[in-house]
Parts: sequence; structure tokens; C-alpha cells
Amino acid sequence: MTNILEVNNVSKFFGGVRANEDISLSIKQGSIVSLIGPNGSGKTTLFNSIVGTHPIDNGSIKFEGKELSKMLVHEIPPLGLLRTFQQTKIYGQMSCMMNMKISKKVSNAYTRMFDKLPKELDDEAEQYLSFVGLYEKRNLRAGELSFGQQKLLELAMALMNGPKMLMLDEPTAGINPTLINGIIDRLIKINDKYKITLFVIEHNMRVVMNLAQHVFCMAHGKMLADGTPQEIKNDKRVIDAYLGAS
Amino acid sequence: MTNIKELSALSLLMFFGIFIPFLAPAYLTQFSELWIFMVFALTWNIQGGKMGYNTFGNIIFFGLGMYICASVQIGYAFNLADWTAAGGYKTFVHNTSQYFMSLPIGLLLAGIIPMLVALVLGSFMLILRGHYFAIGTLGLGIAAGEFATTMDIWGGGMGMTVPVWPKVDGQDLELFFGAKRNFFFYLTFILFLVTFFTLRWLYNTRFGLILTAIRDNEDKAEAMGIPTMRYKVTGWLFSAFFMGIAGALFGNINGYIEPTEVAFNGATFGVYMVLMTILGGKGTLWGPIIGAILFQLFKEFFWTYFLGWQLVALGFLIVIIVVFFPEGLMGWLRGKKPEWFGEVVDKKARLAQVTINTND
Repeated sequence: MTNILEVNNVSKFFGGVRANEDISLSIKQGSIVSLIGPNGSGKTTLFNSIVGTHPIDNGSIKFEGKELSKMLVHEIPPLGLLRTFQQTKIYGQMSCMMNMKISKKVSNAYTRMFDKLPKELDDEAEQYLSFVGLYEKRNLRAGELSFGQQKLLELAMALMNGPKMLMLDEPTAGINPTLINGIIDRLIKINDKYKITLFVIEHNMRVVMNLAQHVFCMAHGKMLADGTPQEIKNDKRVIDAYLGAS
Repeated sequence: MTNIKELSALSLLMFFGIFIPFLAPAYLTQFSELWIFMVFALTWNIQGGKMGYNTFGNIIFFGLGMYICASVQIGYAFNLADWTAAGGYKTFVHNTSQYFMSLPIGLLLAGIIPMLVALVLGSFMLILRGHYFAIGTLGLGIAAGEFATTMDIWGGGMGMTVPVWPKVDGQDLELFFGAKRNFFFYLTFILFLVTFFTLRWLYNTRFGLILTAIRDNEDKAEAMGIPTMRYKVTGWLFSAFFMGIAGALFGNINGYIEPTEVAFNGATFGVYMVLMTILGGKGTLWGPIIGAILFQLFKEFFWTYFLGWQLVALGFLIVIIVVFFPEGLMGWLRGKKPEWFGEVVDKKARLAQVTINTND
């Protein structure tokens, strides 16, 4: 299998804060990979670096062989690489259906800007909304949904865009334990049915163990360890990082 | 709004648009101003309401359109420098064909040149967000007024006059059952209609939805692959075009153009357009129109009965709007009657539990 994403020696400093230092990782096409690490270890910074939110100080990021580090934020999703946010970002004043329909990947050329939304989008949007269990709430304003429901909506919006690879920032944070099982199931289905590569930041070890085929662990802005979930679980360095041993 | 409501509101406006010159000829200037105010509010709403960018800079396009149209009208028949240098000591009179040939060219350029200016200004101003954008555009508006003061060809701080209405055999030319006032009344009405229908179409396209998405969460829109800058700048082009033409018409109605009191008057018009939109309900299609009507009524009332205290009365109005109708009349109505706005309110949906069936 080929690598869909390759991150080589990426560094990102905010003044004196070394948020990411010399990070390298690669993700195989079609796999589910998890990124773990204590709070403030630089996981979200790495996500932001990959999708171009801020310029990186050093290194290279390649998606399907294409260099991303010099691209603008909005140029990356059309390639098929999409991310969701830790703090949900949705269009609060619009209905869930509108949130979905506007997420469809289309050309943004000047000639296509003023198209009307095609009717067929409704079916597609409803299908993805029921996939994440939000069908009943499709006509509510997205801002009225609870935090956990907004997380699900963000996931559905990402699917609507039809990405090749999804980067999820804590998809199960703020979601009740029963629903988490549903989400794990859905994430596995997304990977299996839609052939979407998943790269997931997650704190819930139960989710990581059930989901990921490979786990990367970061601490203090550096890559600490990587391996299968079992290896990581028993890695002394990882346990120390999480439990705060010196 | 359902179609029936929209249709009746529109027919009412059409009725007034067509018959006001016969019904209330004494108030024609006020009504022309009302159509222009509606264009102010409708175009400000593209940024302030739909897109969430509170601009104080739209007045630039208004003033610019005013100067450009007058310059073209004069320059078509005479030397512009001579005209402004004469300052009224020498009279230049357009004949009928000069007047009506130069006006359409002037109007067209008054739309297009502000659009180009919006393209240039927007390409860097719209990088700013929130308060920074508001302050930035406020500065631009003031700068534009000061810039016009230094332009000797436009009469500098003295200002300039616009061509007088052509005369036939010593009498004002008759058009549309009257002279200049009727003619420009109908032009402003047509401008309002064109603006209204353009925006009505625009808000129903993907473009209109993306403007709303930018207001709700610009970072998300970018992360979903939408080049938001392109949409923001294009939105500003629409405002600039209609504001430019509104300025061109207002200059002709007013008869005299002056940099800071008439053309780039951010302290009155620049604020009015914000007030009207907020009063009616920003982010909606009809809000700015309702807001403009109410505002013009208030304004004429205050200026007539509270002269000297009109600004105090206006301030009082602002307080009432902000405290009791923060979302405007349309926003208030939307809270009371959401079904009128095509929103489905379903208690069951709100209470429904979110479950994922792992078996399907």
C-alpha cells in the first residue's frame, strides 16, 4: 500500500514555544491511524500545519505526493484532504440540511459561483444525516444542536464533501458513552465503505484501541513513539508521558 | 416569506413607485431619496447582514459614482476644468441631446468604476475581519472625502454643480408628466427595482448561501475548501455597482456636489444605511426595505417637528432599536412566526434522541 500522507521533519515554533519539533510520520492509504498525546503536546498544531492554517517553519508535508506546506487553507480540501475541529465549527444560523448542502464539493470558478443548489443534493444530505443519526433534526438550525450533535453534524458535512482522507480532531469528545459505540462503528464503516483514510486525534483509549490500526504518540511537541495499539499501550514512555512520570 | 406576502408587498411598492408623482407631487424629492435609501440598505446588507462584515466604507462608492457621473455628463459637452473654474460665473447649458446622451454613459461608468475600486480595495481590506474591518473602512471613507477635497478638477472643497435640466423654448423639458424631478424619481425607482431583483436572485444561489456561511463561520468555510476571499470581494462588487449608480442619481437630484457634506458623507448616509438595515432586520431580503421606509418616516418627522433636536431624537431611536429590536423588525417577526420564513418548527425534532443503530 502506498502512503497517502507523508510528514517529514516538520517544525512549528510560536516564539519560544516549540509546538512541533522535527515531526515525521506517514499514513498508509485506506488505514485508520490515531494520534494521541497529553494536552498541549502539539497534536492540533500538527493538524493545523498539515491543512495550512499556519505556515510551518521547517520540513515538508506531502499528500498523494503533492507538497502542501506552501498551499492556502482553501486549496487543500479540493485535493481530498479534509479536517474537522476540536471546538465544533458549523454554520449556526443555517439549518442542518443547508449546512450539508453547502459542504458539497463543487467548482468555485467565477462562472459556477451563481449556480442554484441542485435538488439531488437533498437526498444525499439526508442520507449522510441519517448515517450519523441526525435525520430527525435535519430542519433545525445547526446552532440549536448540542455540542455532541454538532460534532456528528461536522462529521456528516465532511462526508458530504467526499474526501479521500479525513483528519478528525477528537470526534468523540463531549459525546455520551452509548453514542460513542455508534461513532466507532460509523468511523469503521466510513473507512470500509467509502474507502476514506482516517487520521484521528483521540484521548479516549477505548476508542483508540477499537479503531486504530496504528498509533502515533506525541509529547512536548515531539514524536514519542509509534506502533500498533497494543505496543503503544504497553510502551513505558507513553505511560510516563500520560501519567506524568519524569 | 411566502410568495403571496412577497407579491403583495411588491405590488404595493410598484403602486407607489408608479403613482407617487400624481398622488404626492410635493414630496417627490423625499420619495426619490427613499428609493435611494432602500438601495443603501439593500447593498449594505450584502456585507453587514449576509456576510457579517460591518462596513462603513460603502459610502466611498456612492461619492465616487456621484463625481464620475457628473464629470462624464459635463465632459461630454464641455471642458470639465472650465466648468468647475467658472464656479457659476459663466453658464454652460446642455442641449437636450447632449444631456440625454451623456447621462446613460455617466450612469454606466458610475457603476463600473466603483466596482473596479471595490476590487482593488476589497482585495486587501477584506483580509481584515470583525472590528478591524469596520475601523479600516471607516478610515477609507474619511480618506476618500479628504482626497476629493484636493481634486481641483472637481472643484476641491468648493464642490461642483451638475448639468441643469435642458430647456425647450425657454420651458423645462417635459418628460414622464413632469420635468427633472419626475424623471429622476422614476430612475431611482428603477434602480431600486433592479437592485432588489438582483439581490433576490443572488441570495437564492450558492453564492448567497456561501455569504451566510462566511458570516456564520468563515474558518469552517475555508476548511471546507471555499475560497472565501473570492466570494467576499465579489459581494463587494455588487454593492459598489449599485451604490455608484445611486450616487450618480443622487448627485443629479441634489444639483450640487460637495466632498464631505454630500458625496462622502459617512456621518449621515454612512450611518443611515447601517441604521436602516438594523432597524428592518439584517440578513433578510425585506428587512432593509422596511427599515428604509420606517427610517425615512422617522427622519422626515424629526427634521420637521424637532428641528434642532433631530439628532437627539435620532439617538433615542438608535437606543430603542438596539434595546428592543436587536435583530430588527424581521428578526423579531422571525422569532414570533418562524413558519413565515420557511423554518420548520417541530417540537418532536427538537426533543428527539440521537441514536446510531450499529446494525444497519
